Amino acid sequence: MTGLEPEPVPEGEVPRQRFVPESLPAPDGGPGTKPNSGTSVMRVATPGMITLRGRIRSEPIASAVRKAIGIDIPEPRRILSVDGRSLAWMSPDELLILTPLGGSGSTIAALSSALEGQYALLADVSDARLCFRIAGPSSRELIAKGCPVDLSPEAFSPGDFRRSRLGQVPVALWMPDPGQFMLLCFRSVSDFVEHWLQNAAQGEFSGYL
Amino acid sequence: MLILTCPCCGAEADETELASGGEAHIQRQGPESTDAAFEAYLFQRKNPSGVHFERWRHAFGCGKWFHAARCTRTLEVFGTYTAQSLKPPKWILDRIRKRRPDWAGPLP
Amino acid sequence: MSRRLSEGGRLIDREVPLGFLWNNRRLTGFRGDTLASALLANDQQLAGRSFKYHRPRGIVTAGPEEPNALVQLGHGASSEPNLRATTVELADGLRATSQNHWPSLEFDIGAATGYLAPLFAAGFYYKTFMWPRVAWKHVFEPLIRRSAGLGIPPTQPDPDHYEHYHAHVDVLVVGSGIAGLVAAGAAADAGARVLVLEQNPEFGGRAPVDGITVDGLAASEWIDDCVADLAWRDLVRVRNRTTVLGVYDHGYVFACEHRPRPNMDKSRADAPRQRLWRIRARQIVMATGAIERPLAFAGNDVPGVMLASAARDYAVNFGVGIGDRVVVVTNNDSAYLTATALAEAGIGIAGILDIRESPAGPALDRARAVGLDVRTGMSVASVFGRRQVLGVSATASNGDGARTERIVANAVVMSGGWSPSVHLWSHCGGKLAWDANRGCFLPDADRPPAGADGVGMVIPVGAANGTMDASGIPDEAVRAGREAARRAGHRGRRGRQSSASHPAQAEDAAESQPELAWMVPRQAKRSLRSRAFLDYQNDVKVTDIELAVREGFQSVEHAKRYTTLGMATDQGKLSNVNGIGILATSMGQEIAGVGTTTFRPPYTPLTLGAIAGEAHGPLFKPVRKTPMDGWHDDHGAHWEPVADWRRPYCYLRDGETVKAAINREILNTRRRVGLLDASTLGKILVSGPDSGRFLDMLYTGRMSTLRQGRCRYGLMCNENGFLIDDGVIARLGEETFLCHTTSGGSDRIHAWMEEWLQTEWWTWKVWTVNLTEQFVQVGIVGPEARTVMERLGNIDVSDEALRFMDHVDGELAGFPVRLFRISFSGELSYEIQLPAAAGLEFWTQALEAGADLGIQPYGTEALHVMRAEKGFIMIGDETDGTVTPQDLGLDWAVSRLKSDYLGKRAQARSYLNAPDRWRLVGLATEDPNAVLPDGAYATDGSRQQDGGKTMIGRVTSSYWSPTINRSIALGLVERGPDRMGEVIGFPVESGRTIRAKIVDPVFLGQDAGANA
Repeated sequence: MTGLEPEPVPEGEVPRQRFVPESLPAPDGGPGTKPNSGTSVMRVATPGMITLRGRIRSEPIASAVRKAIGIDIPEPRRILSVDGRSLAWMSPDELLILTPLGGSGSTIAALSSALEGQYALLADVSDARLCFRIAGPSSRELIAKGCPVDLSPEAFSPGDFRRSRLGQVPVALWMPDPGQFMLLCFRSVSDFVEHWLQNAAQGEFSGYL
Repeated sequence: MLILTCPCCGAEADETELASGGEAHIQRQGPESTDAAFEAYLFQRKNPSGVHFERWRHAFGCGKWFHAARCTRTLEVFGTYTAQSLKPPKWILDRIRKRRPDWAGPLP
Repeated sequence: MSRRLSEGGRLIDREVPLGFLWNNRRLTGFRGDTLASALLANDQQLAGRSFKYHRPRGIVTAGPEEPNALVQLGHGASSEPNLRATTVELADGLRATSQNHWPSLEFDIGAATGYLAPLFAAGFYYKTFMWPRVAWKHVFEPLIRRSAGLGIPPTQPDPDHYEHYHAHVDVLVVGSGIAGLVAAGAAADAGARVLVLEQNPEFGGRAPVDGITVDGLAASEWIDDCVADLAWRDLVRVRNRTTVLGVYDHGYVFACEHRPRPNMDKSRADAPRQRLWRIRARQIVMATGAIERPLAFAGNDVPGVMLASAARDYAVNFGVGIGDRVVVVTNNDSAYLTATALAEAGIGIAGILDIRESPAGPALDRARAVGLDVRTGMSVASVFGRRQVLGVSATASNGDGARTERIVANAVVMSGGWSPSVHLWSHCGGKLAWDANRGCFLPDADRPPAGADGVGMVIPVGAANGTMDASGIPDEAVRAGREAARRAGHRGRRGRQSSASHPAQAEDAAESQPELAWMVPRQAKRSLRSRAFLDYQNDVKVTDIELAVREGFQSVEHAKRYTTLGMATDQGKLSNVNGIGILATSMGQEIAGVGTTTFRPPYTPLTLGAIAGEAHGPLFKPVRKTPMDGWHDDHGAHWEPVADWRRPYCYLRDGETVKAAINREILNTRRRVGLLDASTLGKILVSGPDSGRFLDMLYTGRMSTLRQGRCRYGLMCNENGFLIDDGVIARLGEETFLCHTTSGGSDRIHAWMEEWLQTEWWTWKVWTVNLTEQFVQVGIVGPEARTVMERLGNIDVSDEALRFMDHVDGELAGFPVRLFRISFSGELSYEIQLPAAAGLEFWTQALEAGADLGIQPYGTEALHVMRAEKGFIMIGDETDGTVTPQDLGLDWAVSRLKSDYLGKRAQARSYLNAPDRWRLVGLATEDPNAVLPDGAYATDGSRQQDGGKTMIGRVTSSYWSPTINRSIALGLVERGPDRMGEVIGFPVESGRTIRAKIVDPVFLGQDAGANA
């Protein structure tokens, strides 16, 4: 999706490994943990990104966006993807439009003409944020080390889009498919976020989810 | 560590996603205001033990301001509602009265 | 001598011996031991010294409530102080040392204070050490700190790592005794997501020790089945070694999961040593059990005196006998379980002293049946022995202890009844009520801690709810589990009705009610009361509480603080109720009237490491970096934090000092050309039909009249009239502006704009986007700047085409840019804004383009000096949140014609117009080489009423200016602009005063650096 280079990821949700406590003391054991079996963190090529500020639920804006991009306005906290482009719901009056790499210019042009005369603001923000991919069986638990959102499969799944915090910085999260997360953060803190994610991936996981 | 449901995005927001903004429904006093009215606008705030109306911002989420009606004593949340309102809406007041029959209404 | 019994010990594995070090002595235990059980097995009763009197103290409990056996574990960087030996799992190679003794545990000089005990009464510290004042810091405090020591914190960085984990759950069950496990099963049956947390390595609570049977099975068997059943259910998670520490608003719970130390398995070195669980629970089932209370009698702190339940734990769980002639003293039935368990293990019982006159029931019958000597209406008067129990004197429990009979013994076990563990109920506002029948504080069901919906969020069950009889627990727990699930929104009955988690019946040795006695014997003389301890760790005795009452500290909260009862690291788990009992007795009141203090989190102490989690070292705080950060780092950047950013303060060349680098950068920029990474400046796009009107409200100046293609300097104030930010505003289009903010202001000012748009002027048609991260900004500054610009592209940068404060879009170095001709140095200056991904490439091209012209990058300090030379203010230097534009002589940037702007009304207040306000001036030191310290205050020689010097101004910025070869400073001085030419004094360190003349803030005149 969104022009991000696809990486081989196991089909579907990888079976979760459950932590089963021993009822006898084990002096050489750790806290309930399971080792990291293939959960990885990677910086990925950043897609083109456009901020649209406007009354996105209003018909004129929604139809202009549909005309220019061919995607409906997503429901709150959702992301919709069609043909390599995505619309992410940021707030009641803000969309983040993800395009294939380098594709923001033409999309802005199409949107600008479709939105002609409407009270809305477009800005190319392709350079403002960077993107990470977290993939593998423990990706939910990795992010849950620093994010207060309920990331259990019942509460968060592909199609959901959530702005929250990771450690001490704002991030946005979504799942392009059941085996992986995409995470956006601001460019200036991307070193911090990468370090944070790598640190979290090095350790073991709680085995909770 | 409150949880408030952001009425703008619907998320059950953990307090670590929120920023508090103090008392709600303060009316701005501009250049024509009297000294007393301006002083009250800048400095006078209610501090009730009980029902209170507050401003919050979903700072680490959708970024929107909203209002919350809650009890400062029991931490019960009566509801959250749009920040684009000059006074608490009727449905919030009704809900508060249902839970707090003795409540005298918003402090003057 | 070993006190390990030849048989028994359900938790230990005798096949796996473990060697460990105790005060550098090599001892052996077994896998499954706690440090405490292993010490007892090695006949190490003496485990520590008390705080105040340095009395020898022994292990008194078998759990987290332990007040005495505090130990220091490990050595070096990973050493950890103040751990309870009763909760430390033994491991091979474990090193433990006792605390608070000098020079040794066995011989402690501080114990001499014990002989002076009468002098150390309640409030001793408050009454003593008051005079002379100076002695506190240099004599008393160091002395007290050394003698009242806890363990020693390690001085090196902690090599272990810690992590946090956010978990969400419908029902959190705290405790895995029968009550917790049954409640968990019932909640999951109803469809709730359930998490069960157990503080110990093993599940089951007290049931396996107390000989309870469930559905005909021994408790331990039933528990194994039940845990296995729960652990594999989809909706249930079960964790051991995880202590719930606190319950907070709206079901926020934190719990600490720990790994036993040391980590012997190197292959798992990645595993965190502790994990702090940050749990959001919709409902909490509190199945935390109960803690046994000591009895207050003289000498109840001698090593060898122990809780009856703990003695039972050591015998049954660890196969350790605490003595071979044991006296049991009790006010209830549960100690009989200990007596029979010890007798069965072959330990001699020297007698059971039951303070009740005529107790009856199956427990007594059993004890008598195995031939134990039960003596009713009797209690201990006093314990013989100092470092170990040598015997007791027994006396009538209702008497004064005068007539006694000696019983030879080497251990005493006591039971004063049970206190339900109600801590978690209290943490978030739940109230307690005294139950006189059961003799304990219980959760008051009518006043629970409430969740967001106003409904109780904690449900107590089992012993934590006062249900001491196992037969009542299964039904109660099923109801609690279902109720918790229902409140969490689950009414279903999906899932199976597991027989394992729904026992029909549980049976234990029946209990009768305790007969309360807060001091035994009840009429004890003072000589006995003054040796009866309530709080072991803080050495609070019965007579201390009585003294507090006599001195007027009668509120339970006052008495606690005056005597320090319950204020040690064990937080009064053993002492609280007994202390309140003594308090009530002393005042002739009922306990219900006295009330209780409030339990606060954490339940047990936790490490700073667990609190910090991953946030240490490079992850302590986010550092914001510009795209050119790596280049700066490679080229000698000496970093400075600017808000969350790191920016080069200067670029150090080989062998160069910071001061030399700054001077070089300034002179190079003034004489040739400098390059500045200004990417951290905030850049906010403001657009819409009402954008001009909006910016007119936000800025003190008028922005709506700004013409397209032009820039204007703007000031922002808050509604108090004080400056909060400044920057250059560019008009990009009819309805569109780009607002620059300070580096620290980008997020704050964007939020400020959104706040006004969302909450005050929501009908105005304005959109904002924060583009700070989208663009870099590069300043090319100095006399040769134009040449560099001409080499970078084809934008006409002549004075005619691009005037001062013009901006234009174009292409430079192959990148689309927005070019501003603005200056913060007085020099000819261009600022180029372009997409961040191209920033580094543009930066290096600019350096190449200016190489032969002598271009050099300059850092923030050169920037600061150059702006100060021109008298330009800096937000955060010249402003501190109490400074108005008028104070800074910036009236020209404040519109008098606008009817309104944020801060206008405040600036009309009399205080902000007072003639004696401190206002901006330049300060020229009489000695041109003397640089005023930043923040130095000027005084006028007079004194205030309190004797302090009258301050008349302060330095806000101060630098050495290589441009004019002297020191320069800006400052705020009372009536400053009216006092030009006056010399004022700034007292600095060691009695020196720097004298400076008040001058115009613009040091670099119109003729110099005026090429902007």
